[in-house]
Amino acid sequence: MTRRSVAVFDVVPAGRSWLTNSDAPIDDTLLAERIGAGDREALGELYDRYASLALALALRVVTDRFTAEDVVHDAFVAIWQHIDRFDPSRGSLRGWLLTVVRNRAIDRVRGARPTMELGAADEQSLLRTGPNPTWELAIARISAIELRVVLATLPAEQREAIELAYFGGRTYREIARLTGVPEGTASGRLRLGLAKLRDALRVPVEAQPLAVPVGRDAEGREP
Amino acid sequence: MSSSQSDALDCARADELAGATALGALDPDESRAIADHVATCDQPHAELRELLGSDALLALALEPMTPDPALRARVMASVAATPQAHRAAIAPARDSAPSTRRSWLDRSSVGLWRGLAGAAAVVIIALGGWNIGLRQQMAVQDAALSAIADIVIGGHPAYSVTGLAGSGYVIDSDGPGATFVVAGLDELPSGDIYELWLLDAAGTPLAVGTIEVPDPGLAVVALEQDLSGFALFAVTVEAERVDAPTGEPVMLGAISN
Repeated sequence: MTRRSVAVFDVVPAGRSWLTNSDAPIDDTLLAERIGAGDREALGELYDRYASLALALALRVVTDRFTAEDVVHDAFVAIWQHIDRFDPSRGSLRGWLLTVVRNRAIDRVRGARPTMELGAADEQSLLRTGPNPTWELAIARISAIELRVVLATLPAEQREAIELAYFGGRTYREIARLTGVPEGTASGRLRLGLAKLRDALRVPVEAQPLAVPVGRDAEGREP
Repeated sequence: MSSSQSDALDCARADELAGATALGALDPDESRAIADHVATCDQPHAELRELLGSDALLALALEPMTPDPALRARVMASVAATPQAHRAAIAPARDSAPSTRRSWLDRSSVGLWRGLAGAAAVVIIALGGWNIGLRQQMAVQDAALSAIADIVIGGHPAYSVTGLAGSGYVIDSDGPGATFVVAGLDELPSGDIYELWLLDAAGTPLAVGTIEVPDPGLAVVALEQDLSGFALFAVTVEAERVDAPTGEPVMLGAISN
């Protein structure tokens, strides 16, 4: 079986556009409230903010531009239709949107029946008790290039496992088969890789206070 | 994962699978088992909770890609035609269960939309390549339409409008108003009409005319509104003239001005 490359985590040359989170809006919660109130313009604003990232994610998974745009379309319509399921206490609207995009893209790759439901995304979010400060703050502060640099420091086998899981939609059992290692090793690589990523991101976060109000997360919400 | 495996899931196993859980790299029943376990377990499972949320970060490593401008219009049109679940639950049904109606632009129309994205050019153009079979069937009709439109409009901007009901053009004019030219519309059940719509970029529809008895040859309809400020033109089938579409479009086209 062909292995997927890990090129997405390689650091790209300077000069490409950076996704700096200084561009990230801080009022996604308000945006979610407006969408929940039936404000279609708010959905349009959400699209304007995140469609390019959603498309990049979908395309990375499905590798076909038309299919990727279908995925993005379906994800935004699903967000509109089921905005009542968004709970800001469990994470950001952007994070939820990207989870929906990824799940739908993986469904396409697997040939799963298309659905407007949000079960998988909900299931994962149910595990969360609140926005994870490490990831939320990292999202708010680092650029795409910086993130790639951090990812590039991970051991290759951990990086590969993370890529196969996240962009390839592979389970750890499938990753074990693909890479020829025991299932425990595959799940361990995912765990260790994410833990190292968390630790790498946590240090500068703690060392350099962010310009967000004390007691609020990076999007200005109460924890 | 078998039910016996699921039943056997304990704290150590849940922690072992923390990374796979965070990345959604579990079989579905295994994922449910972990969610159930964490929901009822009195242990903190700190690492598992800490790793959750990492998926949203990973996407940020990607280079953003600019979507085709038509995608936004398509999303907004679908949104305009899609009731929100929580509102559908409290709103009285306007007709036959609109909350269960499929979106205008769902997968059955995806191919159509692909053609429409290219058909927005301000020229008289042939049908888009969205459906080879349909295009072949309509080639003769479309050629006739193009020729007629060339003569009639004398170079005014025109936008291809296609769909299962037929093919046509929305033709802009120098002054107020616009015209919809269509050939080969299907005959409708008694009482039903074709209703014509303009939608803005936010997907808000405006009724701009009807076709009550389709001419088997060529129908020419003066729209009740000019095209300025609108992004889409659509045709639906309605039981009577209405203020908002009640069904999916049978013809659709992007307009840009």
